[in-house]
Amino acid sequence: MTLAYAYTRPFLQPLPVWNYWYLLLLPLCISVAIVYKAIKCRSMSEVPRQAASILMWILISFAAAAAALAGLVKALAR
Amino acid sequence: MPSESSPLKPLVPLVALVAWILPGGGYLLLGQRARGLIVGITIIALFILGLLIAGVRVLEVPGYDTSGERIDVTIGRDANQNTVKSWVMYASPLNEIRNKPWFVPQVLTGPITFAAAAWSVHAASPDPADPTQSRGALSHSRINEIGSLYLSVAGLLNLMAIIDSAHRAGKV
Repeated sequence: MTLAYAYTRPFLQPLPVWNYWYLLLLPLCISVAIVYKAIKCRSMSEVPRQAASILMWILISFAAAAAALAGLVKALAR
Repeated sequence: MPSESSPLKPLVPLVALVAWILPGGGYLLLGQRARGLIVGITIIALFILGLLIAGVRVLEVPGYDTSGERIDVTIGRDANQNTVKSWVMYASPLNEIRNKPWFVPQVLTGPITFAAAAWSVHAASPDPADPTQSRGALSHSRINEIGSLYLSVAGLLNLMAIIDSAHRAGKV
């Protein structure tokens, strides 16, 4: 059975993004990186490069944490 | 003693207040236009994106239940032994806010949160076309969590901007 979900009312209905919710991490990390570096950098011209760098580190850290936790769960499940 | 020719120094509390009212506004007041615009636009976009992802009802408003009704609590009895009720935000505001802790970081985004909260309460009220349904749908599970997270992170980023702009105002 397929559940039909008509998304017709933005802001009054949740977005139908259940199957790829993990991609929603990306805009959040981008925003954190931009605001953090916009506050931290002396010159605004440095912000794009610095924000891209910290964004990469955030995503690598998340991936590493996810891999470590998945490994731990598998080890405990044995 | 400041000389007469020194530029006008914005008051630290004023900068902090403006930074809360309009994300990035503190930097604009200090003349740091690019920084203010980048911070402000990013924080507001994150807040609006949170509302779009999980729906406006993701905002749990202290003092109101899931059907948009004011929560009243019994605070005692009058001389005729009738129960006396009061709005929970008057009777025990801290307990009510503790029940909806996400609202604390979310409100740091500024008055935009109160506008969204009023919209959330309105969306929770029954739909005139179908009174068994509310005007807006309530999100669940991960989508609800992610929406709450977006709104809260927007507020916490604005707190960082408020503190930084106030600190910079103190150094001018």
